Amino acid sequence: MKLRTTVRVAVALVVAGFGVAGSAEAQLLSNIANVNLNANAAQTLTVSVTSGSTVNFALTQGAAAAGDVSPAISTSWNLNPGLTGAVSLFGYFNTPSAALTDGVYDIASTYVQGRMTTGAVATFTSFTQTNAVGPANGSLLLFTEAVTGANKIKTRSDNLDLQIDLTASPTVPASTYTGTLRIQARAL
Amino acid sequence: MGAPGLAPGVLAAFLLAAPARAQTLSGVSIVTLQATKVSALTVVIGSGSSMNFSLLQGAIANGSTAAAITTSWSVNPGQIGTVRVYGYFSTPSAALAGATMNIPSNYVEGRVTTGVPTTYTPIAQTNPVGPAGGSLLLVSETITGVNKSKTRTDNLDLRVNLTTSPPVPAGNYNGTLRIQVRAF
Repeated sequence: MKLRTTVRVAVALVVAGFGVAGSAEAQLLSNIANVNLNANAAQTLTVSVTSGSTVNFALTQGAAAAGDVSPAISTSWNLNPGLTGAVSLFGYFNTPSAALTDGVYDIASTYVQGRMTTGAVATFTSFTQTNAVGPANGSLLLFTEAVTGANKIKTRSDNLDLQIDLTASPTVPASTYTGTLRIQARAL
Repeated sequence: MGAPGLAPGVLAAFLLAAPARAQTLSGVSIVTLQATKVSALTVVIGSGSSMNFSLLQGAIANGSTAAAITTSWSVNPGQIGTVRVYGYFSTPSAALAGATMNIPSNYVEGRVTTGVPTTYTPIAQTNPVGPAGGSLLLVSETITGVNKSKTRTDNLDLRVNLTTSPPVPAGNYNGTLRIQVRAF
């Protein structure tokens, strides 16, 4: 008798368990609705002078005066190599005939020279080129780097050495001369 | 001249009694009526089913619009305790696919201010709907007799957060966020 009772209780518990489980398993799933996401990462190209943004020269007639510091130029890009073949960096003066001026006398860009040993100008070269960036006869190509899948996203830093070479210039009056060299990168 | 064998009084009594007794009642048959109303659960994107993002490395790009999700149900509260809305990507590692790189779902974040994730949360949860590490619970509502049949609309805000992502190459990226509702 005791065994029968035990069996009945066990069966009752099992049945009850199935009943409970049946309720818990009841679930419905809806249809699926879609949200289409379209994202675009635009191409980017930036340049910054991370140090040496002010360069001083002690001019000496008939000699070359080196800048006291070499500007460090950081160039970063995120480009599609299918659309862009190369990145080029240029330096230029807005007014080549007055790269530096004291307001009375101008020093032309012919006498301002740049060198980028990690770039396209291994030796000091005057800012008198005509390039896609800057005015005619007032710029200098500093580097060119072809863009491929390997370097489509890149940041590079290059030092630009500057000097003012008055070895062949007319006499420059004693004064303080200031000017702005503009740095710009171009991807095409 | 009466009927043979019957006294006139008896015959008259038969004739008068016959109409009242001439009925027969059968047994009762039962017709059982059964009607079933099937539970219903649907979801639609009322607006914002296409969303655009202008990605920017190291920054957050908000979706151009919010997706309005309308959820409707008619369920039996004796069988269904909760209705939940989920969003998920079929392939979390490529929530947004590009030509050379895919953006995984942990950089895609969702928010439903009238729902569960009231602040932006990556679509990187593991839930009963969607693949592991690729979904987000958007709405959860307990079912009672009061709301056993209901329609609600919630706005889903999305953004792509590239503040901590590896560099994402310039280009176009596309993906589909799937919305599904589960009642249990």
